[in-house]
Amino acid sequence: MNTTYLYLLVFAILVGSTDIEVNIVALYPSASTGVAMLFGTIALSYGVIVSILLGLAGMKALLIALFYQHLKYEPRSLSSWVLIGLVIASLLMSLVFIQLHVH
Amino acid sequence: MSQDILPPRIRRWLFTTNHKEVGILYLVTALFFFVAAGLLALTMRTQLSVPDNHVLTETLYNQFVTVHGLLMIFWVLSPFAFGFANYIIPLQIGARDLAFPRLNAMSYWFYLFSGVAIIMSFIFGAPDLGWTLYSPQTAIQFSPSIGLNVGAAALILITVSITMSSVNFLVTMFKMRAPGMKLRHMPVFPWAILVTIFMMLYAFPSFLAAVLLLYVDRAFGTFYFSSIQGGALLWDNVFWFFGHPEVYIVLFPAIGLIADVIPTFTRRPLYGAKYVIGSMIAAAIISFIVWGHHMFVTGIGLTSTKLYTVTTIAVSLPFDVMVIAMIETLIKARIKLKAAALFALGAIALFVIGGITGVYLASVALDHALRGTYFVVAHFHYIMVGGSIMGLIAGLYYWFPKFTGRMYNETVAKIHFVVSFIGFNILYFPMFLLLDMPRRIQTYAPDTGWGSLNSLATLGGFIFGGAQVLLFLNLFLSQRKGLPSGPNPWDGWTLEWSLPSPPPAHDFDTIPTIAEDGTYHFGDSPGLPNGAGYPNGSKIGNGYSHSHLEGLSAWPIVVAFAAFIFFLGLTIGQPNNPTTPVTFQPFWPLIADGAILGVIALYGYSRERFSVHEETRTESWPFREVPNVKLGIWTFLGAEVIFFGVLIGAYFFVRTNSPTWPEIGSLFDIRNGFAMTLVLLTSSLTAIMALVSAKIGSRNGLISSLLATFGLGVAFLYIKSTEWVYLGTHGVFSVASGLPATSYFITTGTHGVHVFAGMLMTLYLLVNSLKGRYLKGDHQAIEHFGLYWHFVDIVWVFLFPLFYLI
Amino acid sequence: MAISNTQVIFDNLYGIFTYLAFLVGIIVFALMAYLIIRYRAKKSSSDPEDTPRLGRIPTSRGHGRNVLVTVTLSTFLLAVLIITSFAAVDTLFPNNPPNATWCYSIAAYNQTQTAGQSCPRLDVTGHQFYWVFTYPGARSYTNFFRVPVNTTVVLDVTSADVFHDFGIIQFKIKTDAIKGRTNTIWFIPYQTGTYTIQCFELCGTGHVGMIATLAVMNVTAFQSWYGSAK
Repeated sequence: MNTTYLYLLVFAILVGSTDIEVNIVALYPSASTGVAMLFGTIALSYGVIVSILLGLAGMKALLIALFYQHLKYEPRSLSSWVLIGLVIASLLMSLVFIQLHVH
Repeated sequence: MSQDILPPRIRRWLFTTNHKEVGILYLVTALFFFVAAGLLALTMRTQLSVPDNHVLTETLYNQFVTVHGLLMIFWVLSPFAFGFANYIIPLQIGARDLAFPRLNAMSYWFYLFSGVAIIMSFIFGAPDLGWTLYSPQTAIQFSPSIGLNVGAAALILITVSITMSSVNFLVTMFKMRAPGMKLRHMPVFPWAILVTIFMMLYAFPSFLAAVLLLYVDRAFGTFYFSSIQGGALLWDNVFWFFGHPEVYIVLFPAIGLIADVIPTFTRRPLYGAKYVIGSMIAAAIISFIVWGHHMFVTGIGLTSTKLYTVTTIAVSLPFDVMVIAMIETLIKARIKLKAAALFALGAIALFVIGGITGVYLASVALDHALRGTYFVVAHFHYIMVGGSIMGLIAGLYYWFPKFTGRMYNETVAKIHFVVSFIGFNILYFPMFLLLDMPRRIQTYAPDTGWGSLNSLATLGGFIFGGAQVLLFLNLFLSQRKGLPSGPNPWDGWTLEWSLPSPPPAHDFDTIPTIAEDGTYHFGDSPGLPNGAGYPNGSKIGNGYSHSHLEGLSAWPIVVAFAAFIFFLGLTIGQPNNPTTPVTFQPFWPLIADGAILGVIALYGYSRERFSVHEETRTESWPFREVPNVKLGIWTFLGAEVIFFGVLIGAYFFVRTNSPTWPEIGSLFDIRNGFAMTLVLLTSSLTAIMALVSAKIGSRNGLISSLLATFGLGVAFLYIKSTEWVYLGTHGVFSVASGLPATSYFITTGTHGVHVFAGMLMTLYLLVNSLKGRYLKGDHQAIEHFGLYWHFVDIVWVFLFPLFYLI
Repeated sequence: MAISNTQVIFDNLYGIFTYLAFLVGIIVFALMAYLIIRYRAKKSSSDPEDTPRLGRIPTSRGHGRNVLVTVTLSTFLLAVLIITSFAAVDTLFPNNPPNATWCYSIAAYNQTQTAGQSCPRLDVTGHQFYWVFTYPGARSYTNFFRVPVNTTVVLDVTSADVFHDFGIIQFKIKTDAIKGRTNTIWFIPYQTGTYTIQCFELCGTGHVGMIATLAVMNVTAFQSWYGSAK
């Protein structure tokens, strides 16, 4: 069964990346330095780690959508339709981001 | 259900699933709420007619302001338009009904009961803080009234109604068009509805999330909207992210309708039809990035306000194209000024004024002066009453002969137009000049000088309101005594006019096909049904010719009633501490009744044999290879993306605004989150294995995979609940103990409810698969469940790092 | 009449918008009226050739070129409005307001004046249902405050409870008063007199009476009031 192997492979990647997520937290600047934790003085700053974590989450979500929800094998029209929701949600997020961080 | 105890007439209207009857129900109900909300408005105008007037107390005035706004926006404008859409769109696209007729009936009953709830709120002290429900005034300490809770229940119910009907219409219009009817062949009205439901689909989830969070704040004492860390602006953002598309949601159906009425009465095709449709799509997309213009004076920063100024001013361009196209249609036309045409042209003229004054408000500089004044009131009434209501009245006159088979009195209708148009302008134009007067104030001092303009507006209000009596009298008498209209009194081109008036229950004897050259074919030969010219419609049956008793279902109304009881129970309890209310005690017996009735009704609904007639040949670009139900589910999931997007966005918003936030690992045990992630990921694997087993016909594989999925769901909720209990019993971490707790409990709680719902589905599937179902070609239900379950998994994939790791 | 710098800027901008609004409105309505009268159906006339009829999809009509011309013309008009609006908002509501000068007439602030520094901002707090105005030294007044004419006044506006909106009606400026946030507005009054402040966001039963007064005084009168009042 080819598809079964595919699903198992996807599962392995999902679990593996979760493992990376959990371990990457150890790279945060030490908690005792308080403020430094937010602004990051060591190699990986807070922002970088958050970006990596969100990137990994995005990749996992994409894998689930493409294979488990088999969007990869659906007509292009359906996957574009789903994409619209994501585009609108991300427009919301980015405009709110500008509100919060750009004055 | 033993439905037979009721007389046939009542059974027909309570249990109908026929799109035409549901359409009539929508129209009649919407007109009822129109009168109710209109009377509230006239009372307010009376109160404002002279300075220092005290016909209404301030509290009552504020309640009237609020309920008038809520009713008109949610219970009048959209349902009015969707009454037409229900009745007309299947006819115009050559379908025999909507894709999910019972769901359609259910949408209506949710709408009706939500309306009952909002009216009921007056018993408990109706919401009195404006339809925009700005926080933190909605917090229970400022508004302890139960009426606001009941209002929230009403808003949740109508959001559910709207979401169901948008999925329904979307599938119908994408998948069930008559053979040969390309999307570009659709008239503008169905296009406008298509664009409208697109906006509904993505705007309403934001509203639903906002109202849910508001309810949770009030019931459990959480702090989303009452926190000083951005709570007020959070409401502004999520409310207006919904609120601005909502403006076009209530407007577009009327514009589409006008764009179809004008060509019929000017005897020329719509000028630049494809540009009109393109403009609607453009405006719909831009409508999602303009909401900040409602927040110009909240202090969101110069960059943001300028950005929103540009997007908002830019959104006037597509409307420009629409209006110019309608006007250019008149060139070299042969204009017949029947009532419908008068209302359509009048609506455009008023819409132009509303649109131009909208540009004033799009300018951040002017908005600093105009915000919250009668200039705003005038502007949006020119859009919503001038554009929408006048346009919808055009539709009422236009399709009245189709609905009833009879003509209305044309002279009375024309008088109705002239009086309405004049009354409208006397009512609203003076408000543009009241650009210093705050809106939503119960009275004003004589020395403000606002008295004379207000008197004038009140006079106009009574003229406009009085004119509507002509409409109702005319339609009421004409549907009994009017002259027979025949099938096509206006010589219109769209497909509904090819049917008798009123159309038979099944609409089409033969589904038409549209040939390459654009001609309709009914059966083998081109031309009208049976090749006999216009069908003979001079005979009118008693009342509705589609008074048959097929396709009845009692479950939609029961499900809606159960939901009504459930949400009423959630909202009509007592504040826990009436003197200084912080939390709120729901009324559990009603909740239990609603839940039990709901489970029974949903079970009955799913067991009922209800066959939906599906045509074998339909035009279904671009979703030809996607089954109806699957398209419906994906569409629903698209709305869920926005719903969770808003919840996550709210978390992100309050967290950014909070000066401090607990450190990673200090609140939650990362190991818990890790375990839950693994459990849920594995359950996705078992869910996909269930589908694989079903496809290859392995009953044991299917049952064991479903069992495993169910077990993993139990495991997930078990870990979750131990974590909740631990957090609740150890230390200060309860729902009411601040934003970190609030956002955690609410977001993961909502996700948990989704997991629970998925487990109920698994159980249902398990029972049926033990009976040997779903194997080989019958695997769709397993696949559809999987789509939902994996979505719930994806949500957790984001929640895990957001709450446990950052 | 010039009452304040903010009102002058508003009136000018409002004038530009209204001028263009009338221009566009008159063209559109004249065109509509002309076309309706010109092409009204007469008994003798017959339907045009391309009349949409039951039985076929209507022929398409209209040029993309015309749409393009419409959009281009409108874009030009709208660009004027955007540019003038931005100019106004940059002056009226910049992220960093100009130096306040209302205190320069007061002896205690001579040093501030010499150094060209900003006077303290005045605090405005909305309550259900009154306004509190606070001068330096925690001198606060309910529902009225005073400023000297022809000086720059900067206000920090916030709320103690629900969402209010602080508007000085004749000055044509407004800002939301929100608990947990401070929104800043500024103005230069040009005329002595009293002006009305009102809440512009429905804030509960009592909202209608949430009215305060701003007295703009000549400098000497302000000096003696500020010196004597405690």
